[in-house]
Amino acid sequence: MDNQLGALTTIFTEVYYWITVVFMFLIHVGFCMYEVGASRRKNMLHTLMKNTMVIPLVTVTFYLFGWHIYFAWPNGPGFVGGFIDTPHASPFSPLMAATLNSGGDGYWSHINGVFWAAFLLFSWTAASIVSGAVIERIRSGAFWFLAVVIGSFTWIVDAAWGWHPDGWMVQVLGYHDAYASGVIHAVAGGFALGILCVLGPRIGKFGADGTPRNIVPPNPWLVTVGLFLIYTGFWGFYAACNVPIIDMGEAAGMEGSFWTTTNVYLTPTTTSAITFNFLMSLSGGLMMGYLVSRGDAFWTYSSGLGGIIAASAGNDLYHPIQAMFVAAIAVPVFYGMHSWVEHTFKIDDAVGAVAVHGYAGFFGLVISGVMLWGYPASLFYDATISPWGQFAGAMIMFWGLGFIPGFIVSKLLNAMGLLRIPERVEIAGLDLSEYHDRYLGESEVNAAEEDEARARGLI
Amino acid sequence: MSTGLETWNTNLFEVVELYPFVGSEYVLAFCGLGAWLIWHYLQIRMENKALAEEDALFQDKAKLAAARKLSNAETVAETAKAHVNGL
Repeated sequence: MDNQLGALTTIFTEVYYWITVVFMFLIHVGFCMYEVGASRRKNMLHTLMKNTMVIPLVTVTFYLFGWHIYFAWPNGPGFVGGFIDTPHASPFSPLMAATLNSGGDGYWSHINGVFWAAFLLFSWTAASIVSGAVIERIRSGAFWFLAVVIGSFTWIVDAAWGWHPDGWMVQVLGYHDAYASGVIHAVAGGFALGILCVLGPRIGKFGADGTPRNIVPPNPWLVTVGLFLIYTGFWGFYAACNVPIIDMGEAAGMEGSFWTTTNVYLTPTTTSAITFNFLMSLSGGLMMGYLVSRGDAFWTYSSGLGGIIAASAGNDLYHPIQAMFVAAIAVPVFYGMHSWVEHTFKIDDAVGAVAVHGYAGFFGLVISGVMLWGYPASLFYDATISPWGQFAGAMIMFWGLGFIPGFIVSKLLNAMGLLRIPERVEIAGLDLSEYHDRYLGESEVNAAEEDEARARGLI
Repeated sequence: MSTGLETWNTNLFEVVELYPFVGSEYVLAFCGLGAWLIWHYLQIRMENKALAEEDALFQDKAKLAAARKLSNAETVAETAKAHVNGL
């Protein structure tokens, strides 16, 4: 920080990530509104609190061990090496607090907190994706424990493996997932499916013959605003997946500097490229979603989101029209999968989270392996992107780090009687159970107001 | 006497930690870990107690039916009416 250009580069990067965090906060606001809008009146406060408390719990645990995992586990450990020393990411490090200088240039003093926060907001997103699927019957305590497992452990393990310039999946499989089709969405979708298999459907969801009933979101306006806020926050999500300014000239073997924006793998892209592709994949998803769902608002909006998610793995490199078609093709795949799984396995995914995030993310990874076949996956390793590398990556994300941990932890919680709300309480309504004083107060105030109005001769 | 910094009139390149009580990082981390675990313990205990009480209350089928009506009421007036009639 001893010259103006170096200081500008560092502090621009610091402010850049800080702004992405503010944008990404809107994802969480959106998820809260969306899930409350999809909950019946008797469960709205329970849903809201369930999602709200993800914020402190995942934040604290991501500080204590999540950030450390990202930098310590890229080798597996055990796949291509051991644990990596992480002097800036351990909770004992001064760099995990207010410092002025580090390594002589102060770079990590300025970057560590905002970079941590950007990844933390990805963690909240992963937990919130799961949250929507399990509404109206999961115990809050069980969900919050599961939120820590996905938010501060399994997703960040997959980020270390497949979303780090030195991750073993990048080195060995040529795994490429620029905007997190797999490392956020497929893993969270798989995790949600694992929980749902143990948790079971809401009472009344399926008829005696197994036919699913449509529990319509009671507040479509809140769902709409929530999904628009998720779209808005997604801008920050995309920006946060990039390194805004870096000199990659030396690493590329050039003489002299080459300043550019890169993706998380430190290979070049531009903010313009991802802006083209973000909007075109959103458009492809919305257009196809409208057709496939015959204009159903809930699925049209969700398909816009699913379209972006499907194109995200390759949206650093796709042509915008390719991004649009990848998104559009993904919609009937995840929409059909949702319906098939619901009918066949009696899985009650309340908001279609497994479809929009899990199946769309899985599909996006596989299709990017075809679209980007032969592209270099890394600046530092020889691995190239391939269909089989991406398919293997999708399997690791959805099943290995998603479904299996979600299923096992849910089984354990269920065995301890901590997973599901008692059936009588579920029927009565979760808000009545937890907040019955509020309802009683509301009734008393109503009665008192009526008495007073009569006393004044107003009614 | 200072819990950390004593002056800004120094070579700022030599200033690293800005927070007080430098050297307590391990203790702070373990306290944070403990606070997180204790929170889960207290929350689950609280939730178990509340749900057990509600479950016991709703063993009475009439109360469960009234509660269900109350929960599904669309307006404050319906809520109040359900209260008067049932719960």
